[in-house]
Amino acid sequence: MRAHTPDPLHSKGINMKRLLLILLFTTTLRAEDAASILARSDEFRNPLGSFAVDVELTSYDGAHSDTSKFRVYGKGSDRSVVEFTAPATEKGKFLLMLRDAMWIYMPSASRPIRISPLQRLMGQASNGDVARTSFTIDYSAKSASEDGDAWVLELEAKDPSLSYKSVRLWIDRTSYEPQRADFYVASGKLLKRAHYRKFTTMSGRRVVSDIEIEDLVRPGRRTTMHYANLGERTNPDKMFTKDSLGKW
Amino acid sequence: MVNATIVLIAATLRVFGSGGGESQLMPTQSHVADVSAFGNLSSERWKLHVKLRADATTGLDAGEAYAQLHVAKWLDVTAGRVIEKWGTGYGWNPTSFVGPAKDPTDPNDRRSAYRGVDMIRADVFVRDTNVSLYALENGQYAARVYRLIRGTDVSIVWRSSGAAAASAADFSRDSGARSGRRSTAGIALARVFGNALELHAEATQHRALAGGQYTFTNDINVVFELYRDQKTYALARIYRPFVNAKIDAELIALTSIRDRSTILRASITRKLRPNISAYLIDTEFVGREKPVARLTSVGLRYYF
Repeated sequence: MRAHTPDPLHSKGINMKRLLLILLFTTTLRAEDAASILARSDEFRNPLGSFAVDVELTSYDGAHSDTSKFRVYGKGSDRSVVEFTAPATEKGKFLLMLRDAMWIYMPSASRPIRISPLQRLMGQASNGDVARTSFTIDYSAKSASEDGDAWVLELEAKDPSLSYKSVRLWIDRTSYEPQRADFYVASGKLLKRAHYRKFTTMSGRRVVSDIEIEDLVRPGRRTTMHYANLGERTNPDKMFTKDSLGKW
Repeated sequence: MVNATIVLIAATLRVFGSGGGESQLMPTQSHVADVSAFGNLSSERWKLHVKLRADATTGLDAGEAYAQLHVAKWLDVTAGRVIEKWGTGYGWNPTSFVGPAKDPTDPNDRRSAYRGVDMIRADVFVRDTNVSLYALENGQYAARVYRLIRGTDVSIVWRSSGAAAASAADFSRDSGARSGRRSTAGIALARVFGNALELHAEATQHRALAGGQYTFTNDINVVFELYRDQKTYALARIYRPFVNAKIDAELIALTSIRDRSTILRASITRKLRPNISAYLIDTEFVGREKPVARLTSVGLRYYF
């Protein structure tokens, strides 16, 4: 009786299948893990379903600095209205963001104007930086890797028209607090880096209170965003429509 | 009394506005001054809004004064004088059937001179669609339906036939509603492509506009538009903020395609303090049939 000797090709085929299955499983697991890590991390930026929060933006360029203040009203993770409260020259303006679509309302023009994401709110912060309170709605977490005490998530834009095609996000592996985010445009160029500097408790939740945004295209320019007075607020759906801007 | 007090405590008051003076230096000297104040008193159920403007020549006027009741989650009713601005265009809005006349060389109404139309308006919000119904002066009616369809702003507007419009201030002179003798309908569209490009268009039975704007990474914003009325006009606007110097620079060119006559308007605005701005505006009229003319103004504006 001849001893069974496995066909090396057949064996190789089985191994390849196993390897592919393992790889597929691992990749799926990675994606699922990455998605759940992202969801937990997003809670530090957007912990309430319907809310209002004050944002103070200070833009630095060398010795110059400029400060603006806003009140942001949000519902879910994809709808927000930004009310300009200071300086006086900006009072009465509103910005509406529905996913990546934006409109600005100025009391003088009395008409909401469709604007592109690149049009800046102030300093290094684009409109989206202030209005957007979550990554999950716009980005898919493709993979997660480890970098010291942090998870590093590779996020890809769900919609190709988004300002940043991909984001690399560092998240604390113990607390799930976001640490840093690198924003890349479609060409692969790294344009902007956000540092999540401070966390505090507001409305009974631990949330990020200070974000610093570095302009990597124009070194030396940076913007800080300070969040305060986060609270639950019943924001009706009609608030988040273009026609309601400035009318409520 | 107790109830009234509670209602007032729950309301939010916002007051803001600006006041300033402007001097025309050339060709002749003249001076104007105005103060505009916006006031909003609002609660979850209602809102009172007023825009008051005092001018050295016209005196005190209410550009807007209305009460709004949030009747239901899906219904708001507004009564009073309201500034309505329909359309997606920058320099012209052919679909702006209800609203003040627009000056393409000053589309942002820097001196807050717009005056509203007396109306009763019902805003209905149904499944991401806004429907606004208007009962206007002179027995006229209007309607507007707006919806964001796959990232594109789509507005369909209509105004009824009726008595002739009361004045150019009541109905936009570029609206196609000047005679007011026949009903008018139109459509307005806007969409953003990528990070920086916005395209928009408006059309009625007799007028059309197409244009867009592009924002460069150095913050330069360019607006370009073609407008077809009885003549064809082109508009280009280049705007650049110099953040460190706290200066905004703007150049608007408005050309009649047929005779090539052009209005060039250059302005520089310098923020002196967070609430004080100074500006210089130079306007040149250039044309084959008309001699070159120049108008220069300086102004100072305080915001509160």
